[in-house]
Amino acid sequence: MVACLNDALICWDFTPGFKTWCLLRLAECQYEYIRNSTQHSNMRILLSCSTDAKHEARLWLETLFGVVHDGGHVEALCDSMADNAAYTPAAVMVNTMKFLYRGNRLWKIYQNFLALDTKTFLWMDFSIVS
Amino acid sequence: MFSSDELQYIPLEQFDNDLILAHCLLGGDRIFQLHTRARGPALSMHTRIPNMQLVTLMDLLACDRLLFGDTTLVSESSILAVLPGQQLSVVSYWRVVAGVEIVKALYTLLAGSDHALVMDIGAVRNVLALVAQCTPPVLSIVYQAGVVQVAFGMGRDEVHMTPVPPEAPTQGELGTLVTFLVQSTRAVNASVSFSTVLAAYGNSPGTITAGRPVGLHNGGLLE
Repeated sequence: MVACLNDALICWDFTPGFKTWCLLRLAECQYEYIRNSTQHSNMRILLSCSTDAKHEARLWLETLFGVVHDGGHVEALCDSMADNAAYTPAAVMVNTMKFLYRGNRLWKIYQNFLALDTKTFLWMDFSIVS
Repeated sequence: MFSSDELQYIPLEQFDNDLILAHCLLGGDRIFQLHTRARGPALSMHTRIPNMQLVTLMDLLACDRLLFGDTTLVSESSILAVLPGQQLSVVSYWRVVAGVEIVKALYTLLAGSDHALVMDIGAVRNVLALVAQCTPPVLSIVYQAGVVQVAFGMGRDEVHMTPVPPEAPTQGELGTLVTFLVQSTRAVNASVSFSTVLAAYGNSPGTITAGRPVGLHNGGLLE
């Protein structure tokens, strides 16, 4: 799989060298592709701030993170988007590590305070076309 | 390829050529790239293509597809020297009006101390169906510059924490939430799209940044 923009020929992907290197060290390195799919709904896109869109975004946060409310997260995003409405704003929320393999105890489990810290790197391609 | 002189032959170790259509110009004229490789005794090689004009590099449009990565010369002269035992690899560019169907590249090779040995070589190719190697880019879309902000964690305070550094420590499950806010730098009617997120995780210092984890995939293989 590679990460391609819609209708674009230019894509980004993990290099084969990195994937090979990482797969040999699952105790200290893992990688994943996060897509906007229904199967693994660990990405939520907010292109508008209609009542329905905000409700769906809050529901997504509450469901995936098990919280009773989002602490004003979506409303704050919509405030920012409203302030910059002329500049085609959009928000993308990503739930990293949701489906990460944690078979090795070295990986950070939330209540295991003795585990090593995890450093997360994200690469995302945005395209703004007029 | 043919030789036009039955009486004189110059023994060559190598002689081959290739012709590609480089550009189709707006007025209908076409520019061909002629690539010739020759190896043999000391020679003076004269090249001509009937009804075509040798063009200078100044007249060429920039096109990476026409570049050679080896020691191939780009020549603006129709006369070149082949040194004994060394391969001459040379490209030249030729311009012709629209509608040409057959291209004949004619080489006259002169050898010997007083150029007494003369051998003609001709190469013929039907170029009617050739497609130009380089075409002007047709842009139907305009990309706009944009600004991307990022917030780590959940809640109003996290979103409003500006400017946000490119990296920040977070804790717990809520710390795994990363929110991107993207917008154009110009107030134009635009659309925003994005691709799959590539995520890599490491639990020891320098694990991920040691190599080159992500690369451009532009129709070819990544290194």
